[in-house]
Amino acid sequence: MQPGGREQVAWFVPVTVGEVLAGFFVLDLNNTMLRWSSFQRREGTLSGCPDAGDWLSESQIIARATAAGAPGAPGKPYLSYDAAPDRIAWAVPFGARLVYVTGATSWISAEPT
Amino acid sequence: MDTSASADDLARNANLVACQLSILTALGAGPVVDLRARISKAATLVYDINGEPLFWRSVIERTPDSYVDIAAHPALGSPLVAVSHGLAWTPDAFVEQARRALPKRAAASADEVRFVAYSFPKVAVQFLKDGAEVAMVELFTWSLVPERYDRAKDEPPGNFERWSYLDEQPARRRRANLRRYAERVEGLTEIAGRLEIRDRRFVDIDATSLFDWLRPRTDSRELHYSGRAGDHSTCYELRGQETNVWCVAASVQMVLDFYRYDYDQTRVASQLGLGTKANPSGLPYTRDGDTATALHVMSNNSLTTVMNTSPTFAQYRSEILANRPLVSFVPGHSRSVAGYTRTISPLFPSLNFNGLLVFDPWPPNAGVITRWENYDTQTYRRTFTAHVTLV
Repeated sequence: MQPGGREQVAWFVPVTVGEVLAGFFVLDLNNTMLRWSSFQRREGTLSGCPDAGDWLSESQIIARATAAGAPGAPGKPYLSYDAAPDRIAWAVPFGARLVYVTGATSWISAEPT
Repeated sequence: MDTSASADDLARNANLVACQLSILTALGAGPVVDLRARISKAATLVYDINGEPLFWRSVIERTPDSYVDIAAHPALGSPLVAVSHGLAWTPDAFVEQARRALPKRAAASADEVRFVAYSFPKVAVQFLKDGAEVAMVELFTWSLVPERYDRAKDEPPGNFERWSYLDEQPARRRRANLRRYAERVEGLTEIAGRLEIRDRRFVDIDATSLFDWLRPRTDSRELHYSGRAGDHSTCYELRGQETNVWCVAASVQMVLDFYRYDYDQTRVASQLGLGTKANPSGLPYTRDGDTATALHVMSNNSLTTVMNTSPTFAQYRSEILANRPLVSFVPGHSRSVAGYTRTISPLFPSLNFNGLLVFDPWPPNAGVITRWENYDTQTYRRTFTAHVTLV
């Protein structure tokens, strides 16, 4: 994970089951576990877990970012966060603007980069 | 020979080592010591080649040809460095034998003698005059240890070469060892206190009670419908935030849901003054207290709410034990907490863990359940507690 300044801050370790993202670990740069987070609402079902491609496929992330309607062409996505490290999101540069993508949701950053 | 350095540290660490060896003996993990014995008070200080005290070597009384090495420097990572059997530790005799290996002039000029871990754990006798080395003789081979050799970077030491354990310890290893040393001292101090270990004596420990002490104890609780955890599974529901800035609204919605106040998130956001879904805004820092107000007002004043400005793990735990969820603010974000886990190991504090079960409304329109968030790695800014007002 790299915020806007592109300094590495943590490791995002996805856990996929088939085509969905079941959850993820976040480790700090010394490999200390910060958290394990699951999209599963209850044990034994993956209902509601996001499409893994929305989190892990660069082309899909760019497509989601483009849907937010920012002007210009998309740059290379990087995994980052919106305002706080717990708010993990893909950041896609569109000129001076960032578009954040989390799964199927995308939005244009309030502040220019 | 200098045997007086850090006498307090020696006294403490010798008791901790007696404690650890007693435990290892009770567990059958060896090395076995005679439990009627104790570590001798007469310890020999062994220095690193850089001149810093490294460890003490002391005989185990009533146990022939046995000695124990006790850390004098925390970079060794544990108060117990090593236990050796099969060789008597007779420092005065060793010094005399080493002296005989010296040229007569060198032997006569020396005014100080030290034991030095010239290539840890190999030990030599160092002869000094006015603080400067005259000669160094390896124990048992009685060979003169060569002068320092300037190795190439990343070249490991040779088999008969002086090098500093402390100076050449990688920084990462040093940090890990210092942390482990502090943890071991803390854990062993607690157990040595319980066992009333004094005067470097070993004690006979009942293995059954020992297992109880050593076993990491885990204490966990998640929200349930009632206080009887066995009657119902975890009773809390995740709400994803419906805009990228409505984390507070989603967190408040989760707590209100728990108390059966069924609001949609747009309504909660409106109460908090967070705009509309088409034009949303976040809660500014200056209005943190509005969270408590929203919980109170939207429960028709049935929930008494409190904002805590310096949250602790104990506060989270006490709320969960009372079967009450919390809203938890971290810098830049809000979530709800619905459980905790706590693992305590007196002897191995590195196993200790404090974790929170976090119902995180991020990412938008989804949310995640974090089981567990490492409490010691997060900054907690505010908590909002709510309890049913009793009349």
